Order: sequence, then C-alpha cells, then structure tokens
Amino acid sequence: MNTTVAEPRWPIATALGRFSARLNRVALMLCVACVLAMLSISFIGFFYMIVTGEALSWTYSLARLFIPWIGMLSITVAFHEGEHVAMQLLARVLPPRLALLLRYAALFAVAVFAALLLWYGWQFFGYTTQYYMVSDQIQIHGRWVAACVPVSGAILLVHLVNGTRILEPQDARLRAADTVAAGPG
Amino acid sequence: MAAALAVFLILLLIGAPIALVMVFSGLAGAVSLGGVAFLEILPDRMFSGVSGFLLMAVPYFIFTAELMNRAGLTQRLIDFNNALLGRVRGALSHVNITTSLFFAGLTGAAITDTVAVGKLMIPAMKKEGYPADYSAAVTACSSVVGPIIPPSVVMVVYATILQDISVISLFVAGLVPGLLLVAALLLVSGWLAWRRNYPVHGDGGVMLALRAFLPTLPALLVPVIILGGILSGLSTVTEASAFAAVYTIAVGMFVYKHLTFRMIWSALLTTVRLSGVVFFLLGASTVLGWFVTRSGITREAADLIAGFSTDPLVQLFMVNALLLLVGTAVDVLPALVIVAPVLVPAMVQLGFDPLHFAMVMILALNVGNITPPVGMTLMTAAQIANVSYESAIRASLPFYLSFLAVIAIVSLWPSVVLWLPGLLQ
Repeated sequence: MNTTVAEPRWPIATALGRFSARLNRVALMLCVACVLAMLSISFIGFFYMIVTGEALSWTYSLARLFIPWIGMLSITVAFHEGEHVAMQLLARVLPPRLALLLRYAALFAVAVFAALLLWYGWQFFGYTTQYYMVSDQIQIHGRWVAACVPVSGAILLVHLVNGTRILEPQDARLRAADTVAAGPG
Repeated sequence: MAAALAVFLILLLIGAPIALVMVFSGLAGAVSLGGVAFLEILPDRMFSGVSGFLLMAVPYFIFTAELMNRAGLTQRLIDFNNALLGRVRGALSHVNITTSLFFAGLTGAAITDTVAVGKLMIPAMKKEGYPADYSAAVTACSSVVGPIIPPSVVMVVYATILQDISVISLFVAGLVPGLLLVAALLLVSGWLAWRRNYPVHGDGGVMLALRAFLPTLPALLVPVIILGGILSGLSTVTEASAFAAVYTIAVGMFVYKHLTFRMIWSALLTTVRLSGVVFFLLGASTVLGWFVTRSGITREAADLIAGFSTDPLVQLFMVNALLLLVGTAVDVLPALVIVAPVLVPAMVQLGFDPLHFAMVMILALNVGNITPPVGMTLMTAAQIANVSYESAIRASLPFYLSFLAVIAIVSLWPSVVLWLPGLLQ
C-alpha cells in the first residue's frame, strides 16, 4: 500500500517534505494509540457491566477525552495521504495548466484553513477553563483536549510543503483493493 | 446567504475538499452575519463537531469492518450463499446479492463490500460466462444495501448531525427498507437470469448449506451482538461497537486463525485514515450548520417546497428528485452532511416524520453510489471487472429501476420504515 506523498524537488523542500512525512507518522501513531486506549476503556466498561451488572462511571468520561484528538489528528493524516473527497469534474475537463492553477487555488484555501485553525485554535486553547470530571478524584483540564485544535492546524500547515500533492486523490478504490488483497479472504 | 453560496460554488468547482468547501461557506455566512469577529466560531465548531460521544462508534465500526475483510470472512460468506442458491438459474448473480446482505450487517460501507465481494465474485462470474459489465453492475448495485442495513456509519453520522433522532431508531428503521432493496435486486436478478439463460452454479442443498453456514456463524454473530446489545438495553452503541471490534479480533485470530498482528496493525492504520475523512466532514458540517440555523435558510427551503405544492406526496417526490440529483454529483457522506441540516428541519416543519424522512434521504442519497458521474462503487466494480464505466452503467439500468421502485414504496408508505421501530418501543 503506497501511502507516501512524493518528495518535493528542491533540497530544502525535500527536507521539509521528510519532516512532514515524519510528523504525519507521529500523528498516525498518536491516533492509533488513542483508538486503542479508547477501545480498551470502552471494552472494560462493557465487560464490567456484563459481569457485575453495575456501570463503571469513569469509563465514559475517560474514553470521550480521546475522541477530539482522534478526530482532529486524523483529519491531518487524511490530508497528508490525499484521502479527502473532492469534486474533480472541472479539473478533468480543463487544460492541464488551468487545472494546475485551480489546484493552487484549492491549496491556498487549505493554507488559510490551517492558519485559521492555528490562530483561532490557540485562542480557543487559551480560553478553555473547564475541567473534565473523570471521577471524584481525577479531573483533567480542558486544555489537554482543546490543544488538539491548534496542534492540528500547525501540522496541516507543515503538510503544505508537499504542495498540491496533498490535494491529489490517492486511488482509494485500488488502495481498498490492496487492503483486501492483503487479507487471506 | 449570497456570500456563503458563492464561496460554496467557487470552492466546489475548483476541486477543494468538500469538507473545506463547507467550512469556508459556513465561515463566509458567519462573517456576513457578524463581521470578521465571527471567524472565531471555527475552533469551537470544529471541536464540538468531532467530540460527540456517539462518534466513538465511527472508528470502532470501521475497524471491525477492516478486521473482517482481513480475517477471510468473504470467501466463507460466498461459500455459504453458493450452497444455498447454487442450483438456481443465475446462481452467482443471486449469491453476489445475498453475500452483500450479510456483508451489510458486518461492515455497513458500500465501497468495502464492492471491493471485498467483487474481487472474488466478479472473476468467478466471468468464468461461468456472465458478461463482465453485468458482473460489475450486480456487485456495485448490491453493495448499496451496506449503509441501509445496520450497523451503518452513515446512520451514525446522520444521528450526530441531526441530534433529535436516535441512532438506535435509525438502525432499526433501516432493516425493512434494506430487506426490500435486497428483494428488489433478487427479483431483477432472477428475471434477467431467466431472460438471458444464465447458468446454475452446481451443488447446493440443505446439508451443504448447513455445513457452509457453521464457519460463518461466529462472524455473523457480530451484527447480532451489536443490535442485540443495543436493543436489549444492555449496552450503548459505542459499547456494543467496541465489544464487536474486540470480538472480531478474537474470532479472526482464534477461530478463523487467519488474522495476524500485522493485519490488525494495517486495519488500525486504515481506520485512522478513513476516520479522518468522516471527522472532517462532521466538523465542517457543524461550521456550516451554525450558519444554516441562524440564516433562516431552513424556513426558506420549507416555504420553497410548500410553494411548489401543498400535497405532501408531491413535496416528498420533489425532494427525492433533488436528493437523487445531488447523489449523482457528490458521494453519500458529503452529500448527507451538506443537505441534511437544511432539508431535514424544512421537511419536519412541513409535517413529515423525522425518522421516515431520514430513511428516504439515506436511501435516495445511497443510490448516488452507482449513478454517474460520481458513482464510486460502480466505478470500482467496473475497474475490478475490467470493463468501461459506461457499459457498467448500462448494465446497471434494470437495478436502478428497482431502487427507484423501493424509494417510491418507502416514500408512499411511511409504515414500511416506522413499523419496526414502533413495534420495539
């Protein structure tokens, strides 16, 4: 399964491209860790209730702390790997130069989005004052969770070094086919 | 309103990701309402859009589906269905459809079904003399059942956007329309098999079916666990989906003995990538939704629909036509998050039942999976069958008609949707 975005041409861009790829790998690993943590907590809660008939109140409060991180970070991962759905009808019928121009315009929109996410996300992070009550003893400051917004904005800004390649849809169908082919089914 | 619409159209046409289109049209609308200061809704809306407790089920469902794909379930399902229907004329065509029915209960994603079933069924069908375009068509069209029969990521997303409807009601409401779709597909498949003299497959019968059923049983328990757990009140949707994921790992590793740690890891990576697409659409829909609720578009949409006709049936069929049109250009999930915040409140204002309209909308948008120009599942199936997209479209026409018939039935008789949820209440 080919998931890497091709390296840019210039040496500095190549270095930045490598940094973007590494950052994406870190984001991917973090997301996987969050999914596994959330899954374990949900399963423990369910299993405990089946066995004892009583609910573990902290499982709900703790598991839900992971979902904003998974949500925001996975958006950057999907960007890096060209997974996001776009309408390419016009780009397909236009001459290549004009189509490239449109891709640059779309890339500019991504850049603005990333910058807004970072700028306003940082303010959002600063304004967050509430605590998540996991249990009577354990309280987690909302900033630990709210931080996912500016962090995702920053990561997305870094991914811009890959240029319009982050807007080129990977062939999801063939990728899915590879995925299935990887299994024994 | 004009600014939001202009931004929406421009960004859509230049090929920006659809979620980004929604974010910026929502922001343009917000700025037109309250100036640049309103840009600060972005982080708050994005955050709340990806934070719902119910959304924990999204990666769990995707993970379970990915695990099932890798655990070797597809071939077992096909074997079982072959044993059931092998002696019937056009057997493989019917098997393709019934396998999708079982698959729908496990994965709930049309594209996953097309790839998993198509990779095995299309070559087998071609080998038995079925035309390649027909093999592609039946594979893609039967996959449409995936998001209708629970569990379904589309339904989880719907319940998250429209918070006044429960995902449990949606799951239950999807059962009868889903089975109706399968029946309609089998009817068309049977008629075509008789007309075109498609071959029988060979062996079949009760004993063979029973023997083939046993290996599929552990996997087929997944939807039973999810739906049983939820409907019995024993678990929430998220708990049931978490249990299903863990159960699938256990079945894949210890019963089927196919699933390796490497495959589980690969399933996790795919889960994150696919979740990113869903979460971006959800976050973006809350940004756009913020503007939609304040702009009065919903009321205007309701007035517009009522202006065309006061007859509820005409109104519903007009909206159906619009949904089918939207489905031709945009994929199911983005189409849903774009139109649902506007259309659903408008239709509820006009007196339609929210659950009934939800199912009509999900059905109509799902047909978009197989309609040109952006029929993703049909494109995929055509690619697997190695035929042109155009010939696959032509071969799909009889199935389109059956889908339209089911949408008409579900629209005309709300009890088709509401009967089962009412019974369970």
